[in-house]
Parts: sequence; structure tokens; C-alpha cells
Amino acid sequence: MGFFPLIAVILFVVLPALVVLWRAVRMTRTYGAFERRVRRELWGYMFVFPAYLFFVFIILIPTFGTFWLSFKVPLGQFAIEFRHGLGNYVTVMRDPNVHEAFLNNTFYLFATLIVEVLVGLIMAIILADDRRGFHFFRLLFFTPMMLSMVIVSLLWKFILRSEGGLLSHTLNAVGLSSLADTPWMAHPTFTLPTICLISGWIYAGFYLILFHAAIRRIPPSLLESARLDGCNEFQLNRHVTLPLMKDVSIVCVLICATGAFKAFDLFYVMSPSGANHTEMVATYLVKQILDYDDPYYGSTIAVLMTVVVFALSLIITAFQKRTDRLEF
Amino acid sequence: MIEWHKIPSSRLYVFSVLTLGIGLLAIACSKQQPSIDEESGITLKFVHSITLGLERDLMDDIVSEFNAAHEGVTLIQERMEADYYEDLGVIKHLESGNPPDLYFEWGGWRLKRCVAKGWALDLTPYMNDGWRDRFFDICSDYMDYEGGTYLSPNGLDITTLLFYNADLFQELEFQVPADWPEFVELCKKTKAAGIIPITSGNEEVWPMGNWAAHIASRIVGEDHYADILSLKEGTSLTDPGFVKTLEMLKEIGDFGGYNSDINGLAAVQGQVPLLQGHALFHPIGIWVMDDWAKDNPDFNFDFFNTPPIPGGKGDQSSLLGVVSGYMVHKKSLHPDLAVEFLKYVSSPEVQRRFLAIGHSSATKEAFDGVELDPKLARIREMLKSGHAIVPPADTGFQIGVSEEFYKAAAAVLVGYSEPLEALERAERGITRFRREAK
Repeated sequence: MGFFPLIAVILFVVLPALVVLWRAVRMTRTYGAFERRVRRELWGYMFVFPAYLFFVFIILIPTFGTFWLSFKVPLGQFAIEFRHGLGNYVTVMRDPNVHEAFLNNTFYLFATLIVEVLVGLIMAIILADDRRGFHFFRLLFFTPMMLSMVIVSLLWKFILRSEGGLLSHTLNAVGLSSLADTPWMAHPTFTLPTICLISGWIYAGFYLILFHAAIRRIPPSLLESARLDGCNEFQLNRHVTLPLMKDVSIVCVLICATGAFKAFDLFYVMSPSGANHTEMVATYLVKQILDYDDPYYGSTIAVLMTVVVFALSLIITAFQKRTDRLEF
Repeated sequence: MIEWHKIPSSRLYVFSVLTLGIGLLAIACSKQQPSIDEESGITLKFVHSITLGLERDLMDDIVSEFNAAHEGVTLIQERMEADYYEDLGVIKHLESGNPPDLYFEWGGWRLKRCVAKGWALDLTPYMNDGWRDRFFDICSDYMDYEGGTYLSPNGLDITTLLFYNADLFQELEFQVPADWPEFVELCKKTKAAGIIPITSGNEEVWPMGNWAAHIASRIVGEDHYADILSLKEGTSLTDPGFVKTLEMLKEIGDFGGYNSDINGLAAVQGQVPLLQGHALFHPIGIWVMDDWAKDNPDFNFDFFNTPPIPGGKGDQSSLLGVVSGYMVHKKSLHPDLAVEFLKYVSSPEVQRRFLAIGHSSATKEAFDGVELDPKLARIREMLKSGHAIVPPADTGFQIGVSEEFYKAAAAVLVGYSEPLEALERAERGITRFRREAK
């Protein structure tokens, strides 16, 4: 790691300590009495210090370390000698696997916006009333969220097997034998869309609950007056319910978008080697570090992924700020 | 009861900082597993991935016997699950401040990496008492690197043979094919009979990737195969021989020669159609023989090597095989004792015990005087025949390179890509490895 520990300590321990000291000295000149000075501010810093140390070692140093490693370029196939530079970044930009992974993540993002957020929204609107049984359905749709992702993945793998899988048997039983042999999890054309649908099955219920909570917050008087003005159900949802849920919708899109770029477990279990061209940025990153023993290249991908997720979050939050906030 | 609110905050702070400081000091001062235990003598650490079954019991016995024969010496084992061991587990051990004295490794690229990184002790000075002569000659390529000997081979696995359901084979009145075209004809007839010709679980790409690598070596010749996968200058994965390899696999896929979910099943799941009599052939390594003997004793199977390919430049009887064994860490404080253990493990007596539990052996004498199962005897004859042993791409060469080739094969099997297109994509995927190789 070379100078990394020294630089990390200087950046995250020595520099902040100097800032605190400088502040203390400055306060001495301003306020005079040492006791008052200490009581007012220095104790505060000291109490924050253990939490800060924890934050430094758990968040800051690993983040800084990842960034640092991304500039180490191995020379030779056994990675014994290194030079520092932008070599890894140049390679990442040219790597067709990285291109494919980012494309897959983007596809997953748009697909999940539909099968998770949009489906969750539609279900929330349909199940908005307190009619008998609707509470049960809301709970039912939320249930997949409570299961372990690995178990869900394995379960679906068994269901989707084209030879002997539950879906295959069912399709045969209902006379759709031409579909029964479809290699849902064994052909690049089908695998990614299938995993997106499974993701929808898992998360749509989560968005349903978020949207349901937002719908419950809409004052009934607004809906009632819209109805009195002659709105039908479609117009009511289009012109009243949806605009009032704009803030929640943006939060949902933000959760979905950042989650899409972090997608890992579902893909790692359902299509472990990327044989069906389902490599995601996170799975490719882990493969670099664990399988290829190349933490330098893996760190470069991690930095890029962080930048993309951060940029995406900024865009969405900027969009959120531009929208008018409605007060009830 | 302590009244926390009455304690001055300054005292609480000093107490917390002191506790934290003492804790950190205790961690810093704590010793890791010592190589020399001052009370009980010398301790050697041995890391491997034998975690289950008869092999684990045997290794426990061997270690106990070694410890009993060496007073004051304790050989301790640290086991890891195989997949973790292969990826990161062993590396973390080898790089640590307290590395193991002995560890399991595969010959080929992985051995070279261990040597380059300074994790391997050169065993050449210990080889002069006939130790080296114990191993099959074909092991040499896997034991040696840059003039040194680093591996004590323990297993010599044939990683791809074509296993078949012998009952079905007989029912269809088939004969073992003399060459590749005959094999393809058998596959077509099998398909026409409503049976899956070839079943595999290629989800992790290595089962069919290994077979593709073997076919490629037969077509381009062993040396050129090694040159291509070692990224020698002037070579490319789009070599016409590699393209032909994938075209041959595609030809079988085009008439539905593989199970439809070939790329969606794990290796073990890929065996199921064979065991159930729904599929005829299954390309896989010889380790399945032991599993089937234990778990499916009534299953009637047989095997043959990949048939000769007309016009191929390589040895048409070559075997796809991998040599694995044990290495001594360069930083071991007790290399003599570590080597003594390896000599004991590779002794004919111990190797016969490995054979008895269905494990393969890389030593010549192990087979002498042992009543072998006829199928195992055929394996031994294959190994002794002197034909080339070709390393699979994923253990003999850089894993990133092999994975790209294997993924190309996987894409072709299901008709997703044309052979040349798949290999061109693979070639782009290994650009960075090619740059590093320079």
C-alpha cells in the first residue's frame, strides 16, 4: 500500500486535529477564559472524536483506499510491480465487459422502473381503498421482500428450469408446450429480462407500500371535491392522486435507480459466471477482486460505479428540487 | 446501581478513551498463531480445501501419523471450502504475516504465480533422493518453473472425458466412435431417437469450456494452444483453429444436441438427465466416477476420450488433465519438516490409500500391486500411455483469459453468437491481460 496509511492518517486524523486545535487557539484569543472555552466547544469535539474515529476507519479510509488502489497499475501478469497512473481508467473505458455491464445495469434500471415502481404504483392505486381483503393483498405483495434474496433466487431457478421446472410443467399442463422448453435462465435473450421480472416480483410490493402510504396522506376532501366536480376514477388519479404523490414518486425512482446500479445478489446467484451475458457492474467488480485477484482494476470499477450512482442521485434530486412542492 | 448522570462527563470521557486504548493495545499485543509454540515444540501450518468425506478422514489420519512419528512437532490443518480456497482463501493465507508452511495448489499458471510472488520454496535441493522419480513424467510440466521444482504432485485428474449411459448406448447399438465425424453422427442418431445427445451444467462455463479447450488443443496442437492462451505475441483467440473448435460445437448445437438449459444449470445438475436415462453423453472430469460409485451404485456408465479430429495438428489421443499437489511456503521456518511431510504423503503406501478411496494419484508406484476397478485401471493406462496431458484453460493459464474463451464457447452452444463473433468479443475482453503480458 506504500504511503497510503501515512496519507490516510494525515488526511483523516492529523488534519482534523490541527483544525480543532487551531479553532481552540483562536477561541482563546476571542473569549479569554480557558475554562469557558473548553466547556463550550472542545468537549464537544472530544465526545465526537470516538464516533469520528469509527467513521474514519469504517467509511473514509476504505473509500480513500479504493480510490488510491484504482491508480495502481500492475505491470506484468502476476502483478508484482506497479506504477501509478490512469492506466486502469483507460483500460476500463475500453473493456467490452464493463460496457456490457453498464448497459445491463441501465437495462435493469429501466426495466425495474416499470416492473417495480410503475407496477407498485398501479397496485397501490388499485388497492387504495379499505375494501375487504385489500389489506391481505397488500401484505401478500409485500411478502417477497421479507424473504432472503439468495433463497428467492434459488427458488426461481428451480421454478424456471426448462427441463423439469415448475413453470415448464405448468405450461405443458395448460397446453402451451411450445413455451415449456424456453431456456428462461440459459439463454442471453431471456435471462436478463427474466431476472428483471423476478426483481419486480420481489420489490413491487415494497413500492406498493410506499405509494399506499402517500395515497393515505392525500386529504379525502380533495378527492371528494374532485368527484363532485365530475371526475371519473381515471381523471381523479391522473389529475389529483398522481400529482400529489410526485415527491414520493421521485424518492421511489431514486431508490430504484441507485439500487439498480448496486444490483448484485440476484444476479450473482441466478447467473453466476455471466455465461448468459448478465454481468452487472457489481458482479464484474467482485469477480475482478475475488476470482482474478486484481483489486486494482476492481477498485477502478468501484470508483466509476460510485461516480455514476452519485451523478444519477444528483440528477434526480436536482429534478426533485425543480418540481413544485405541494402543501396540504 | 450506578447513577450515570451524576458522573462528570469528563470522567466518562477519560474512562471511555482509556478502555478503548487498552482494548486496542491488547489487540496489537496479541500474538497470531505462532509458528513455534514454545511450550509444546514446533508447529507447522497446512492449508487446503479437503473439507468432506473419505478424503478428509484420510488426510486427518495422515496428519496424525506424521505428528505421532515426530515428537515435539504438531502439524495443524486449516481447511477452507473449495471455491473460496481457490479464489481468495489461499491468497489471503499466503500473503499474510503468518503464512502457512504447506499449502495446496494447482500446477500451471497458479504455480507460476506463487513462484513469481515469492510464496513458493524451490524444492530442487530435496529432490535428489529419488523423490522426483515417484511422479509420472507428465507431471514435470506442472511441477517446474524457470529451472526450479515447486510442487509435490498429489492428484492427476483427467478433467474431461465423455461419459455415457452404458444401458442407453447398448440399446441404441452404438460403438465407441473412431473419430469426431462419427461422434457427431452418433449424436444425430441419439437426437432422432428422442434422447438428449449431450447434457451438461455449464452455468459456471468451465464444464463445456474445458471440453472446448481440449478440442482446440487437438486442432491447433498443444504448443500453439499454450501460446494462444499464454497471450504470446502474434497469437489471438480468433485463431482459425479456435474458430473451428467453436464451429464444431455449434454444429452439435444446431441440431439440438445439448440440453436446452445447458447454460442455466450447475455442473452437478447437468448430470441428472444422464443418470435418469434422458441423455447419452456427458463431458466431465473423472471425479464423478467416485461420486457415482457412492451415490448411484446401480448406474451403468462408461467413458471414452474425446474422439480424434481429422486434420488436427495436436496429439489426437491427448488427455485434458490437471496436476495438483502441495507446495512449501518460501517463508516457512521449518522447510525440512514440511518437505518430510510431503515425502510421506507422496509415498506409495499413502498414495495407495488415496487410490483406495477413489482419488487419483500422480505417483507411478501407487498403482503397483493394487487390485483396481476396471475403469480406474483404464484411467491408469491412459495416464501411463505417454500421450500429451493438456492443461485446461482455467487452471493452466490466466483465469481472466480462460473465462473469456469459455464464455465465447457458452454463447456459441446456445446459438447466441457465431463462433468468430464470439471469439472477437473474447479477444477484446482480454486486451488488458495482453497489455500486462507484454
